[in-house]
Amino acid sequence: MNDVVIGCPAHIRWVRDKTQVIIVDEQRGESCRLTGAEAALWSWLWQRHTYPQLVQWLAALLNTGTEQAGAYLADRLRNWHAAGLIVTHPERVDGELNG
Amino acid sequence: MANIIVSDVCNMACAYCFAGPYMESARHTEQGQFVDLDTFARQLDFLDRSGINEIRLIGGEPTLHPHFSDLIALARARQKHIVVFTHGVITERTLACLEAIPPQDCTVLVNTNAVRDPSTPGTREHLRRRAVLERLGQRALLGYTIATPDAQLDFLVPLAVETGCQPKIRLGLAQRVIAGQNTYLHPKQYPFVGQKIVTFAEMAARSGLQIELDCGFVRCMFSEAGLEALHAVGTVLEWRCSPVLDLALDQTAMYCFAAGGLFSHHLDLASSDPGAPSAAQLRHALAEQAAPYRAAGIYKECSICRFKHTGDCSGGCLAATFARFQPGPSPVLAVPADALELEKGLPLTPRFL
Ligand code: SF4
Repeated sequence: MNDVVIGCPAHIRWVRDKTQVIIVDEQRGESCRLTGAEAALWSWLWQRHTYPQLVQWLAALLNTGTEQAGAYLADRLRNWHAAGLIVTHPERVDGELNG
Repeated sequence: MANIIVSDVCNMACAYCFAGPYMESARHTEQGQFVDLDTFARQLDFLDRSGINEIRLIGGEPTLHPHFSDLIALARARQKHIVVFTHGVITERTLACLEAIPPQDCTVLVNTNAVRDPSTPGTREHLRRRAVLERLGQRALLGYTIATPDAQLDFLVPLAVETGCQPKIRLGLAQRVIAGQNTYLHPKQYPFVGQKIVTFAEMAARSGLQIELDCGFVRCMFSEAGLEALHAVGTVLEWRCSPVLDLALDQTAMYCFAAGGLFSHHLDLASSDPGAPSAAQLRHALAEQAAPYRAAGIYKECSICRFKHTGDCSGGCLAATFARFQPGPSPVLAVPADALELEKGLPLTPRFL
């Protein structure tokens, strides 16, 4: 299967608050908030876990099966990508990031 | 009002100084260490056009400017009210220059805890400062920057009373600077310091002195009883962070010095363009630039705090808030390409504010 590598563009900064994650898009001059499972997922995303691990944790958090958790994760990533909060990197994954 | 940075040098070494990184970076640029008189005059033109009548000379140490008295003369010629932020250990010549200004036209804010060497008690500095305060009288306002929870404030009361300076003491909180390492008060220490300030304000009031709080104080650092006590002794309680413009040596206008030029704009002082932004417009534009960060505050709780929602508390210092934000690392996660289905181009769902 082909993998793509994702990361955060340089103009995105974020902070984990009590009940939410606040993300600032410096280019757009805007901020957005993530709450609940979205906020948890956003925080996990940057802790260098693997994709399958994230699916497992989401399944536990959402109390669902891994299939639904996988769908949820993919859906969030697509949306964040479309919103410019994450970007894909051109390089193929062969090394440490490969989950 | 606006701040004009007239000097990027200082002969003290305060561990909490928020101008340190600025002075350090300025040293490596082409600009001089002091504002030249031409630039200063053009900055005054800009402030005249903007309808600003109060200028605050800051640094570094502004009085080290070799033509300090000329700066004062230029500002006086424009009928500006002058505020000088100084460590107060100044020369006879500078002192004479300040003494010549009527008290109603200037304020000399004397930072009483500036020391040449933080490892010494700074006795010589204190003695000179005291003599300066006595001579400045009502022109002088005592300032103290709280940088550690064990800060000793009590000496300020007899100093203010005995030297005959203004019956007020301005307290500031040492804030973390973005682009450097200074000693600063961690927000976790605020409630402890808040209690100390209440006790001090009551003591000062018994000697007829009022406390002024600089920017960056937050509501929740005081208990309800503490707020009542402060109110009772006439302390103006504002939980704000609304930086004034800083006009820097390199002809930029900065918003929040502690944020180290993160929010800044080049000022074309030579421009005669009537459509050029005024100081108020510039400040507004820079505030807008900083606005997304205001969704948070210095604490994890700020973004859900009712006082923030009602606008009663700004959530603390902008620089301290900014410092909480982290960049998202990149690259970081390998994702199966079919999971992303990039070609779908889904609409935006994050709720941008
Ligand atoms: S906004 Fe933040 S700093 Fe201000 S009172 Fe609320 S929790 Fe405290």
